[in-house]
Amino acid sequence: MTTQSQMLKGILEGCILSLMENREVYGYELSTLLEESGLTFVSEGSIYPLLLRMQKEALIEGTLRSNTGSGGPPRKYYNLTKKGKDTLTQFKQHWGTLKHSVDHILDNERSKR
Amino acid sequence: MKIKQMIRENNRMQEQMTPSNLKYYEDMVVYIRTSPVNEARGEELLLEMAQHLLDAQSKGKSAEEVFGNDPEAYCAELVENLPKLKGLSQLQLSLMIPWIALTWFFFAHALVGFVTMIANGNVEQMSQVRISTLILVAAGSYILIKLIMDMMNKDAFQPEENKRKINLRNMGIYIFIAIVIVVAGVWLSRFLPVLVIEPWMSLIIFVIGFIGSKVLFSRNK
Repeated sequence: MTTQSQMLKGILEGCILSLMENREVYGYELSTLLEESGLTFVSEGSIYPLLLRMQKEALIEGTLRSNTGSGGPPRKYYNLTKKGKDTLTQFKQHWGTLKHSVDHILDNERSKR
Repeated sequence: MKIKQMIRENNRMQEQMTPSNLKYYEDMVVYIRTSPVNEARGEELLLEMAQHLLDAQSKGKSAEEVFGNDPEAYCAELVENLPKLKGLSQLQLSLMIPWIALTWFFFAHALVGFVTMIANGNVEQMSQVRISTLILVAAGSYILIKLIMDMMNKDAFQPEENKRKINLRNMGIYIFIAIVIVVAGVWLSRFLPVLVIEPWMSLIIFVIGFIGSKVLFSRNK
C-alpha cells in the first residue's frame, strides 16, 4: 500500500467514526454522507472492507434488523463501541495537530512569496 | 436473524435486481459462500451489499460503479476481513460430509438387506460390509465435495463461455478422482477385513447417524 492511500484510509476511518458518533448509520447511508461531504475519492463499495476491518478491531459494532416502523428491508446499523469512541477522540486530537502544522507551513510559505 | 431467514431475504432482493446487476451480484454470492468464513457474518454482509446495490440501482447506478471493475479482487478483500470459520466449525464441516455419506450408506445397506430378506435371498451375503467400502464412502465423499467447493470458488468470476469449458474440465477431474478412489478401495479391500452387519443393525446405525447429524451440525446452536 502506498503512503498516500494509507493516509487516506486513516482519514476515512476517522470520518466514518465521526459520522457514527451521535447516531447509527447503515452502509448505503454512510456512502451517501461521505459523498455529500465531498470525499469523492472513496468509491462506494470500498467502505465494506473497511467496515469489516473496523468491526474486527472492535471500533464499531453492527446489528442487522428490519426497520420496524416502515416494515422496510433488513439493514445493518452501525454504531461506535467504547474503543471506537476513544479512537475517535484520539483521531480528533491528531487531526487538529496535523491540520494546524500543515496550515502553519502553507501560510508561512505563502506569506514569503 | 437466522441464516435461513437471511438467505430467504437475499433471494427476495435478487428478484428486484436488473439482469446485469444480478449477474455481478450472484458471482459475489458464490465466491463468499464458498469461502471459509463465518457463515452468519458472510450472509449478513451479502444482505447488506444486496440492499446497497438496490438503493444504488434506484439511482441509476450499476454494480460496477458501486463495487468496482474487479469483483474478484474486491471479494478477496472482503473475505480477508470477514471473521474466519472457528476451529470447531471448520472441524464440524469437515466431519459433516463423511458422516452424512456414511449415514445414508447404512440406510441403503439396511434397505437392500430388508428387500433381500423379503425376497428370501441370501441375507448373509448382503450383510457383509467391507471396511474398505466404508473408508471409500467417507474419503470419497469428502474429497469430491471439497473439490467442488474449491472449484466453484475459483471459477465464480469467469465469463460465461469459459464457465462451460471449466465445467467440462471439472467433470474430467471428478471422474479421474472417482476412478482413483475406487481403484484405491479395491486395492485396500485385499488387506482389510469384512464386517458382518445385519440389516436391522444397519438401520440402527442409520438412525443414530441421522440424529447425530442433527445434533452435531445444527446451524441454530
